[in-house]
Amino acid sequence: MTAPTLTDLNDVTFAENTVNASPQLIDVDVDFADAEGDFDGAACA
Amino acid sequence: MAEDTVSLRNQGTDTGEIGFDGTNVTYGGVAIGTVSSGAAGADLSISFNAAATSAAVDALIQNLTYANSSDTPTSSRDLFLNVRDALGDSFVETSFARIDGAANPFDSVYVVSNSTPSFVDLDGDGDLDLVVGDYGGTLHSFENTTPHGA
Repeated sequence: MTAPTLTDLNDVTFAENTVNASPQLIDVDVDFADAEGDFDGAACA
Repeated sequence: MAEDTVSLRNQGTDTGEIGFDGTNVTYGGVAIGTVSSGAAGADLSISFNAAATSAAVDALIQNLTYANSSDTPTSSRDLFLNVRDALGDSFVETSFARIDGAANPFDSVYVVSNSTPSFVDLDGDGDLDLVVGDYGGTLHSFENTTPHGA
């Protein structure tokens, strides 16, 4: 069994009026990988 | 906090795109899971089905969004993200270190046999506390005070 990995997650700064106006993407460059690729019944939180 | 909302962007249903209608999540038009909460400070939780792949979860995480409803928001936030695959593996790895003497919260408990330590959520706060017996027949309880996510 291999644990999933998350890489290239970076800090981000939003202006107050920007996150008031509409939802902002947190990190479009983050990379997720899981060797088994089995997510039936899995979860993200 | 109540001002925070973590959610998903609805890209669409084309190849490689995340679709989101407020409850159901699709990847390339195929349903991969369902979303609960995430609004008004509540934790965002996504349950996956058998159609979810590593590429689909990768795309989903890249489409996480943040919004804030306050005109005077708290200046910074920490986002805790974890993914548990079908085999139970996750980002959070468990490790153990021995604690001796006064630093050991169980230092005052002297057990001989049949102490039967058990971890249960005694105070209903979502983490496990300890109940352990001692040789005199007394039950000791220890509250888990570690902050969630630590």
